[in-house]
Amino acid sequence: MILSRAIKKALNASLSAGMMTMPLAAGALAQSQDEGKRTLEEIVVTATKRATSLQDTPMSISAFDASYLDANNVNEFSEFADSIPNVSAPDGLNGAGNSISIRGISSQTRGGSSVEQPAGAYLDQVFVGAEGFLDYVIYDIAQIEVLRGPQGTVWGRNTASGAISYRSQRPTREFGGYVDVQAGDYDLSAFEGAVSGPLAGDKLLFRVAGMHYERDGYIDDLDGGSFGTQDQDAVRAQLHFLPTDELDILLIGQYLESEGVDNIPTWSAGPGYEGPPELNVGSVHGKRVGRTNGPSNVTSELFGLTSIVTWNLADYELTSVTGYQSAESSAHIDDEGSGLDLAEAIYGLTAYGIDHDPDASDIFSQELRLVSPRLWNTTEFTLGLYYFDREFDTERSVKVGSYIVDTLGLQLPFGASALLERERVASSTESYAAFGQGSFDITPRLALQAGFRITEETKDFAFANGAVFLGENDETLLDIPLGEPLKLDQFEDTVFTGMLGLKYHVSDDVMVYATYSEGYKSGGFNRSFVTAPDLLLPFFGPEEVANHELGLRSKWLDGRLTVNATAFFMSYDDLQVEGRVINEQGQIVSQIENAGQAESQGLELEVTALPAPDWELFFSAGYLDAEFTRFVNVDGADYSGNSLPFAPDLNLSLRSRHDFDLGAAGTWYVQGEWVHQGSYYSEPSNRERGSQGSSNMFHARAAWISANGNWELGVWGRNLSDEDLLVDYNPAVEDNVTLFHGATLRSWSAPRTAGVDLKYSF
Amino acid sequence: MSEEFGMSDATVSEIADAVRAGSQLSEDLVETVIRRVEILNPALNAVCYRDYDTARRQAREIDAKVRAGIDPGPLAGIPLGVKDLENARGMPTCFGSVFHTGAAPASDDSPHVERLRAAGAIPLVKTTTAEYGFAGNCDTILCGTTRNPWNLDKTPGGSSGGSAAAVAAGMIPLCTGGDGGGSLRAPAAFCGLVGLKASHGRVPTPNGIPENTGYGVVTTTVRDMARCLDVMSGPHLRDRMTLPLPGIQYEQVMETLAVSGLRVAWSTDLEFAEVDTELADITHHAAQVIIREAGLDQRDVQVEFPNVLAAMGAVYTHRIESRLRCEGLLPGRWEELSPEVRRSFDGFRASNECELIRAQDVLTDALARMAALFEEIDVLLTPTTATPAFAAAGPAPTLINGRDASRTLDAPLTPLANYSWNPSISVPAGVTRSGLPVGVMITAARHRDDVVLRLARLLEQARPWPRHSPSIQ
Repeated sequence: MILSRAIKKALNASLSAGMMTMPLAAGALAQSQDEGKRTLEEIVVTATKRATSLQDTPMSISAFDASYLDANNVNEFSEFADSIPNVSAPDGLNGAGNSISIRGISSQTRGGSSVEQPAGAYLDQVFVGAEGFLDYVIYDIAQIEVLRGPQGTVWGRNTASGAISYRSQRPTREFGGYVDVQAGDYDLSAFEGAVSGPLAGDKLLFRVAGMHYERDGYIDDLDGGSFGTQDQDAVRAQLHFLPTDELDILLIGQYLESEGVDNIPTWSAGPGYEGPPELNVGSVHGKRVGRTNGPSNVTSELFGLTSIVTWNLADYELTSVTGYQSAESSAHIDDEGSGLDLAEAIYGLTAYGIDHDPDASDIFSQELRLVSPRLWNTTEFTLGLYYFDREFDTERSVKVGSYIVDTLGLQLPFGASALLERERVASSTESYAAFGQGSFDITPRLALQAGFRITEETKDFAFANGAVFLGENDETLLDIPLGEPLKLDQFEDTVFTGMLGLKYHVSDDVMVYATYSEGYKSGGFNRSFVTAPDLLLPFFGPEEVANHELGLRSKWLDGRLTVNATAFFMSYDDLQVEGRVINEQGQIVSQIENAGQAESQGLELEVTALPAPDWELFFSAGYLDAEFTRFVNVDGADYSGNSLPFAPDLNLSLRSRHDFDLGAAGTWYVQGEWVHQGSYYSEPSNRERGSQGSSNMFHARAAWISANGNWELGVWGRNLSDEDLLVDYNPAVEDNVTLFHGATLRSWSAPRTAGVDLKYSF
Repeated sequence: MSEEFGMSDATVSEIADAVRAGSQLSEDLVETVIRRVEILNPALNAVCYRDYDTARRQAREIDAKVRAGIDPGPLAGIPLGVKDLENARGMPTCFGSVFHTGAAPASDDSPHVERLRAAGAIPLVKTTTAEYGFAGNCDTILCGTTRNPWNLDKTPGGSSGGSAAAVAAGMIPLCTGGDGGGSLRAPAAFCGLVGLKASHGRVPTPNGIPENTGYGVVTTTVRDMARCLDVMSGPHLRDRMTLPLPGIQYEQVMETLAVSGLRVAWSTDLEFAEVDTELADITHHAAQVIIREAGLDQRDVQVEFPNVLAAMGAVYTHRIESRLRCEGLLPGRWEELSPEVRRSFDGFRASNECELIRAQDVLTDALARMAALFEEIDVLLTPTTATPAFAAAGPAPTLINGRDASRTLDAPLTPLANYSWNPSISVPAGVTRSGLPVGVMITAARHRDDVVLRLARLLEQARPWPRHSPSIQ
């Protein structure tokens, strides 16, 4: 019955492409000198699991290196997603990257035991699940690649809308490092640093990086403090062993802990509202204000181990990527975020006399791939095997508070005034896959690309439920314990996904391509099923996507201008969206439904230019037309023809950076960015109250860099016009007039923020 | 064809009405109960004898009556468990004792069973009992240990423990019992059920001899109890103490009787018993709800009694031991008595004739005090028991709140109404922190069974209780 906190927001914005891949110094523009003119560097990406030039890769990719991330104060994906064409990451209620929307396809859920994300996120080639490391502040990152469109061959597992690959900085052969401190409004204080170097000549290298990030939340608590606070600490240690020229062993261990006050939505009502004042706080005090009647704390602890072993075997490269991650989180949160005793969610803590186990997730993955050299001057291929195993266990209680009991006149045993609904869910996912991708030059200019992936996936679910009836003083009047777990039928699926394309080099600097690619997001188990087994469906089915794409990759003006354009048409069958149902007791339960069909088509344009030696321009544009072609939801409402949620029709980004050489005093630069986003709806029924009009955002940064490049002092501001963009809206709440009198809850994007940072590199 | 009766929403009254209306087949009900018994009884051990074939035949007869337009009665088609201290025609009665192993099937029903059967109920099993009814648990050498569905480590109480366990678990919708000192009310309290010891004489005994025992049923709702009392009430030639027909329908008056202004008193312990403090709090709170909902006039009167339980124990011990000696079973076969019965005999036995006389005097004194009390009040509210359910194999608790309770044990408050002949009902008051049900007991003036049912109904409406144990479900 949880009142949903889903906060998916699609902010479409554009970001210029052509980022530098080899930062020569922190904050400095990478450049190559060619007879005194500056040119844009080749960007190397690993989107096909082999190193290729971005301009030569027939995929829609945006890549961002460390210098970009530094220059834009990126702590989480959502901070720069609005600059990427047709990509958005609605500000998470907890951290970053929680839900990423690519070409209008976003997950309407907040993860859980079996719901997959539409875009796969990878850290150092290892798949990171929801609420994993990439849901928190990122640090010491070398490059981020955003791959738009289904990546169903070499990336595979649940990358229906795309993939985002993060690569952390590697140990260095020379001793060095950096320390970076940040301070800003909302009491922001952050630290990031790394030290790296050799331990045994060139044979054994190390790197240790750490991060601390702390700030207040963006929602003021009327009783003091704020909601949405962040307090994260992390460390990553690497050992790079290179015993021979043929063997390369990289070991990565990382740990992260996080705690904070959970974010809450804002309750507000229209004119003539006559309900409880607690549900109209937003109208009275403003949209970033709230009050709860109970705690709202969340803590998490994550641990990960990765090993990447590469053998060079007669120019073939055999790579083994092994990853293990475990995560545990605990929380006691006011689930609906109001001052009424309405709903709470508890896991991993003791509350109401019940010891709850934490949410625990363990992921193990193993990939073995063989990358060929260029054979017969025409052919390259990659072959691989993949294994994935994830175990998830949660024991939660959800409180149906006295407000609901009294308002609906529920007759609870022994006159209980509230009820704790208890559930225990254990799920496991096991997946085997074989994949391959290759390229064959039909002519020196025309290449045929093909790829395949066969995936066999099984999921197991077991659940148990119980209830505790509470008296006026929260004393236990009746305890119905969790029963024996009920194991549902195993979910099995075998999927073939393929890719076929042609790539044609019009010239050395111009390439065009056409591809057809398939993607797949597996089905799973509705976690909320246990709360209303007579009302909801236990399973939802898989989602399949087919993408048709035409692309242009081009360089002009002696490498001072790149123009990359992509046109695409994607069709989705059995698109998974969240439906919200209110049962007879007034409880809101959500379930994942296969929506039917949806289509997403559009254009992406990324232009990078060097109009002058010290002036960089980046322009990107995304046009998107994404709608349900067939969707009748569980209540019988027909949403066919409605826009997909968080899919604005237009997003633009224009960024300009100008460097000024001060000679012995160093350099300073100023950077400004304008991001325009078209209007969008925040949920499938496309209500006006849940719509967001078009917006313009401005970001800026100015920094001084010392002459030796060791020091950088910067000042920055984001969302300078203080735009508030809708990231969540709950129509089911608004419809339940009995309980909520027409009030509803909505959430907003981050407000204007500003800060300073100081970095020392050695 | 509901397989959900007793386990979810359908009450005995609703099921019987459905059978009478022809929308529910009695045959299906019987088969469902048989399946439930075979699944659940291994854990509960509440059933000690089965007569499925006779039950099936009786069910077919009821279904045939309905098809012929004949009303089988207000308990049409209800599968019934009969406590093994009472007779059900065709099934042996073993009194929970190895001394009665191999007993012949009874040739007739006990009067209350006969009336239940005539109303359409279908006896199909005998339920376990404390040996000779003389223990607060059902742990016998003959049948083993009966367990409480709310917590299988605990007893469902005694002596009607098998009946209470079977109904609370949703295994059998209706079961009988007898109450000579609390043997219906205490198991009802332990198992979260309704248990009524009606006014003495309201329901006939087999032979009119016991001056303290009332017969009845355990149910999950007050309406079911009222309907059964309507069926069982009335004079009987074999029982000289039976009362005339009450002239009212209890199922009707439990909804309508005016009780506002009746004088009520609360007593935690009748001034002699040791009562668990958590249980006292829960039951006192329930009593306050009754007083508020009914508009009762609470009086501050002295409610003080001697230890009725110990006196009753001495009298019972003498009676049963004397009988067993006369039949040559004692002292030679002492070890064949169930452990809790032996403990009770040893604990309450009068050491000499004078002690026995004094025990009888205590009971006489209690009767006088009860009569005086009910000149000042109309309703007495107390906890049903002194503790929640104790260990299934015993012993009964001798230490409560850290104090000696060896002479009061788990159910010291119930025998008073047995000797004073007042109607006394136990209804669920709540559940302890450890998940065990406790009951509040409503005792009214003699012959005012309508009052106890009405007050019970008011509590049921204000604080509905779960009708079955959750753990078995």
